[in-house]
Amino acid sequence: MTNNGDNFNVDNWSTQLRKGIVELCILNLLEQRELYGYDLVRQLTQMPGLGIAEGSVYPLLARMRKVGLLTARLEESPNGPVRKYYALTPAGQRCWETMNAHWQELVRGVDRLKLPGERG
Amino acid sequence: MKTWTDDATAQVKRYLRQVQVRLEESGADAHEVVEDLSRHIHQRANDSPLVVITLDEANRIIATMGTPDEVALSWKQLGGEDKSEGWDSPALNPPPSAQKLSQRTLWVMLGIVFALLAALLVVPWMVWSISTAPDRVTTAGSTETKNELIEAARNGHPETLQSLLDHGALIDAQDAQGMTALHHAAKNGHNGVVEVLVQNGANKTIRDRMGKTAADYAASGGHQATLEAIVGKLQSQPAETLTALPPTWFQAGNDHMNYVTGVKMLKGIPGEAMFIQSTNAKPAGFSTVMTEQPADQFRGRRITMTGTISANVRDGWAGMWLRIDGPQGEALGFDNMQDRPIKGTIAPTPYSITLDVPDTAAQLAYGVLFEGQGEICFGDISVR
Repeated sequence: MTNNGDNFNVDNWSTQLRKGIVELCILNLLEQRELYGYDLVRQLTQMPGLGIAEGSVYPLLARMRKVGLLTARLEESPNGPVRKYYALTPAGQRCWETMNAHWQELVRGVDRLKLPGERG
Repeated sequence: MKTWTDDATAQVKRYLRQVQVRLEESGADAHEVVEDLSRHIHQRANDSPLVVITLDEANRIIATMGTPDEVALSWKQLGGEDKSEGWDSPALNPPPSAQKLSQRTLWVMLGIVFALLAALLVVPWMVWSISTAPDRVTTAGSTETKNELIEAARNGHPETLQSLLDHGALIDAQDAQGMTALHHAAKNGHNGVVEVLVQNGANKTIRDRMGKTAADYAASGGHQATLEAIVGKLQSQPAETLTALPPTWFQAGNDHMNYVTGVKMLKGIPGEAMFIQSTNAKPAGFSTVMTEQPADQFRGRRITMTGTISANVRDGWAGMWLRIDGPQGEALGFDNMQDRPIKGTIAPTPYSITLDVPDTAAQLAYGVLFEGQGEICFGDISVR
């Protein structure tokens, strides 16, 4: 039986793709400046197309802190609960550079594939 | 500062507890993440236009957080199943060029260390060390060690597996399919490996990406002895390691000391299933898990209690029960399904009880009772 391709699950593919770049998005946000968790998460969840639940970011932050990519410090806030500020470590900075280089390489490669004239 | 209603507070606590359970199952630093989530929820509430955070508002906030499963999956996604500090996630693995560089650096460093130690005349010790170590450059829980552990489990080599564990391999490390060494050993019916893993404290509740535990694989593969090796360990867990019941639910009964209760995930029962498990071969009475609520909104109405129950009951019976109490505690209505008891092994099945609530009713009490050996699981209990 011939498959016409309609059964290919684009949503599933999209989900897998998005999952893989959340860490890169976190590094990109923190490369610019130190952020506290709530602010960081709101920025991530408001990013078009990423579609991540707010609670799902914290396990990633904990893991990234644990492997030495991020530091975290608590600071009292006059406007609400204690804030936990995250920042890149030197290892996080190096990871940010490496991942972005890899990301750009991928994007360029994918773009070239869809432009026959540039395939070389 | 916001004011929270009691039911809103209880709802958040319940959500956080469920997240904690899921995270712990995933081997995550549950405490830290739950604290972060709690702060986030309270910051969210702080930004709410409402002065009082009601149950509805709490539910709205919780809905933005993601389900407990989603939160736990997020940990696993980044290699959270591996408790090592090293690189382990495809998402964070450096590209091949960086890997080559780090491997070269590693070998150079190893060479220097080797030369120094040889100079100190400890070559014999080095030879012994290398010959017995499970991995040339192993740090506990490295990807290589994890793979070797899983291979040893899959191929049925208990001695190799024990050696790897002795050298710091992480016992609950999962492969790309979310399967642990215990999953692979159970799937292939390697009793010896399962025994080593269980004796070393392997987590039997971990589910792989298919949602299966090691016991599921042993059962579906027809490996009865393997299944018993796993389940036997589960039943011998002390009661204090079991998870707590949801808020407002509690254990009671005339022989509750011979039963343990808790919550767990079970296919066929929505959300978290509560369970009652006998710990004595011949319990003298019954135990129940129950809750109570005022009868105000139900007076003069016909109510139906519904729930889903699965059972593995030997020498006894189980039933859902509903009681309507008057102002002096007298029973105005009661049904415990004794005329239609649940016995034997039953997959998750919906049950219901219907009673009329008199105008004088003060309180409803309801739950699920169990008398006998085995275990019952239940959930999705409601009274409408």
